Amino acid sequence: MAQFYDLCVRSPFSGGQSSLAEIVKAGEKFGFSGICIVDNFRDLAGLGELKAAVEKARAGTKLDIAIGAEIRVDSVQELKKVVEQVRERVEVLIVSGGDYNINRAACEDSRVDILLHPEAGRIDSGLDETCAEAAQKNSVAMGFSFKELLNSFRKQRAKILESIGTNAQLLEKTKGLGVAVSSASSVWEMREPRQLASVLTALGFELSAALRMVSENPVWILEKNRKVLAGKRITEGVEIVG
Amino acid sequence: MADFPEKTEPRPNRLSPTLRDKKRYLAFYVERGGDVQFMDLLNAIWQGILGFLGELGTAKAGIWILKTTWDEQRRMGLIKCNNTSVEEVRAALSVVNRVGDVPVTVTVVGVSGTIKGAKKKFFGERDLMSFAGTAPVQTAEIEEEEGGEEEEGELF
Repeated sequence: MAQFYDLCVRSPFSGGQSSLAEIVKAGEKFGFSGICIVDNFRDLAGLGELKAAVEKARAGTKLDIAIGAEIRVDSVQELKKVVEQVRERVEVLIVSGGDYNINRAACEDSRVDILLHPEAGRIDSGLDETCAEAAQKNSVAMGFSFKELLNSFRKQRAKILESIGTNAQLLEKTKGLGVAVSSASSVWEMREPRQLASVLTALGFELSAALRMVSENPVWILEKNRKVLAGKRITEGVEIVG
Repeated sequence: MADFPEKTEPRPNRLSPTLRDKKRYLAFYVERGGDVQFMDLLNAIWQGILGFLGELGTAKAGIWILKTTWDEQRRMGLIKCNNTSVEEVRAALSVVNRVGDVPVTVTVVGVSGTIKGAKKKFFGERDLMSFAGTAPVQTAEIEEEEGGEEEEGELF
């Protein structure tokens, strides 16, 4: 049976409106195998608080709860600095896109797991073929955020859908990795995996490809990072077995 | 002699089955954060669908919300659409997140080809046929208790 993961649910420690217990309950109800609680990275102390809270939440559930960090920066130098600081401490590293230079730097950095909403606040889609090829080469997943759609209306939503459609075409051409996430700040913004996949299907993805974005791809990212953090994965194709 | 009602307006004949769109019924479940009137919910769902698919897309998808199937206790209802538009309707329902000030989520529980099937599968409704399979077993148990082994063979 397929395992479904939502790799971006915002924690109550960084602007989220629901408690961890509520998030876990909603995750179980929607049929997820696991979720990733994401911290808007400010400092290491904030990340420590989240880790302690997640450890407590893990005790009472079968849901696989991962810890992630979302990085929002204004310059490429800052991005590199923060990635260096955080990479060894979280299971999923997400870069919030928008600025072209940051989008491209994220695509070119293999330590980044997901580039989220590269089209945010832009007229264009925020990516070109160079970026998409770099992302494919470095196994950086293109993140489609459902929250951006949910909280936009009419013209703005149409623009976002158009940009996502363009990025979807780039993704298909380069055969890169894609991930669909809710980016929910509260349980009311969380959606079941099948609905996340349906939105992508409506934008032109094959249903099987859309379903991979909520099941196989997130599982692969999480497993890869857990092996790296445990010291079992040296580099691409080199792992310590047993 | 009783008065017969006046002859109703003539209707066109139904399209032949090959020309008719194939229908699907989506059973949806509503999770809500407060009290919501059904008519408000209905409007919110229509707004969500029209907003996401547009007027043309909604027309092509052949969407209709079946008011009479709404179950207040289970908070479930049925939406009719074409068999080719199921994914689009599912996506459109996912963008419904508010009825007035009350947060809501609309989840698709499943898809069926008939209203009867959808009600059986997702609303837990049962008819007499649902009990048909269990009857012989019950008889067998009773007869076994009363008459012993001899009568067991007569059942088959």
